[in-house]
Amino acid sequence: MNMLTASRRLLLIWSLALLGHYLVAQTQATNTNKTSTSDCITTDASTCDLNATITDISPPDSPAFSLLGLSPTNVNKPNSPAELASSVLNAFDDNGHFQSGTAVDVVPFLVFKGKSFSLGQYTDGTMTAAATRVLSRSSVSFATTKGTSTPDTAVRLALGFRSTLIDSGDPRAGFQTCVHDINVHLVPPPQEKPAAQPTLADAQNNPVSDADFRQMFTDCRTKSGNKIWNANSVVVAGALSWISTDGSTSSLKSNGSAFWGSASWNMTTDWAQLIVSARRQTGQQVVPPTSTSSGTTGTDSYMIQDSTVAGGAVKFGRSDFNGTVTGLYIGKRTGGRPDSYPEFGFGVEKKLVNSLYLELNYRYDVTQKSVSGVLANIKWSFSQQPKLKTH
Amino acid sequence: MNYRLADKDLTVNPAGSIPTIEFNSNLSSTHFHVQVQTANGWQMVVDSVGLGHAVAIKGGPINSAADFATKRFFWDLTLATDSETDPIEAVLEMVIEQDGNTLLRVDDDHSITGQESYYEYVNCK
Repeated sequence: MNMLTASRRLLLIWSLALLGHYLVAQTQATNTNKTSTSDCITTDASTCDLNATITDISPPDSPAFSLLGLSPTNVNKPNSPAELASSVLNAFDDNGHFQSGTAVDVVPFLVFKGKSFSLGQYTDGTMTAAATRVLSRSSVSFATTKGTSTPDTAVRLALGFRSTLIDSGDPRAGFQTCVHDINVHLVPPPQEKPAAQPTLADAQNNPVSDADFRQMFTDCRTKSGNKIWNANSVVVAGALSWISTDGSTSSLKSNGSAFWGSASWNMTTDWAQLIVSARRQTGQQVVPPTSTSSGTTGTDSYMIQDSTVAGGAVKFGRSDFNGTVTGLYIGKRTGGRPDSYPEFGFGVEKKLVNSLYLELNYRYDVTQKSVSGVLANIKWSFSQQPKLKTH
Repeated sequence: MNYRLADKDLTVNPAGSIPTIEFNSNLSSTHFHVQVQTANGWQMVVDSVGLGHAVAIKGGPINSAADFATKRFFWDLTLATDSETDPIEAVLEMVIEQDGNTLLRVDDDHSITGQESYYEYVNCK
């Protein structure tokens, strides 16, 4: 792509962002006479979800863990039916009660059909291959956690699924495509040396050393592991949770759910990506906006909140320096009281050194009931992971 | 690393159509090759890629089913896993068919780490 076209697209993106800012300002201006009753800004800015980003509402790797708010360090990832059975059995004690601290994340297809020939035809253009790709990228997660202080000693469970329906940056497909291109054959030993080992040669019959042959596969692994940050993808995920006040299976009851969806489109070959994501979460226990309680003294301190966050973002730049323009809609029903507002943001991320990224974000929220209308939030942070990676 | 499968015998109907060879596996594969031994050494007959697809064993000095008699063939293929360190159970199947009849079927199932080149000699009667 020539520089002129790139510059025009960059200009277009920033123009759209500025237009969005202007429209929001106009909306705010027309709403300044409305009475503020209850909104995130005037009551408690911490509930404005200003930290919500397009990445935050993307389908998590392990939805069950995410729904329970867990980041377990020891996750069982069984690779065989026996390991899976063992992991599930470990979730119960001898009395049939749930054990807390269980975390299992499994790809059922790879566990039960890991020796399927369809995996060797993963990149073919057939329906079978397409189904294999989806099933190989579909995981099930299961987690349990237990309240750590009286009176909240209930055991919570969550069961989730995640499926990548489309992924143009699939590492498995990338590796297979790369290996397909390796054309080195064995040269049988001459007739007079039948016991000798075959040697290696390329398509032109030039000798190939063992080291060079190994390096070809190493290069494929490296290349397929380098994810394309702006790959096309469609990901869906969901999780259901239950609570058991006494830890027994008989007293289980529903405790909320969450569903995620995300689609990414590679707008250009190497410098931009459009992302649309949504998350619907129900039955979430949150501290009421006006409460000063820490929320740890009992379940009465919590309110039930249902929320929907949906939006889009344009990411552009290079892997070492990039920008993001984000627009989100946040709709909530907290304790039966509805609230909704849009949120916009700009951000940049700069790679400082290897594995260290500086992220700078500016976000603002406009509510229809807000007097001040605009709330700005500048956030900066250091991260060891780039934001421009595939989900 | 090379992995040699036990030598096999094969009987081809000289009046039939050209036999085909097909590979299947659960892992990624490189090109596969079939060579035939001649007075001038080994000559390439098949150089193809793609699992699950039958390919005619035709090329070089092999042009018809009648050319198979008394010939010694050699095939090779390399399977690879996307992990260089974790052993993975590799399943390989090789099938030679002629006119819908299976002349030879070879199955193998063992763990490999990284990549492994499989090869086998096939002696035609």
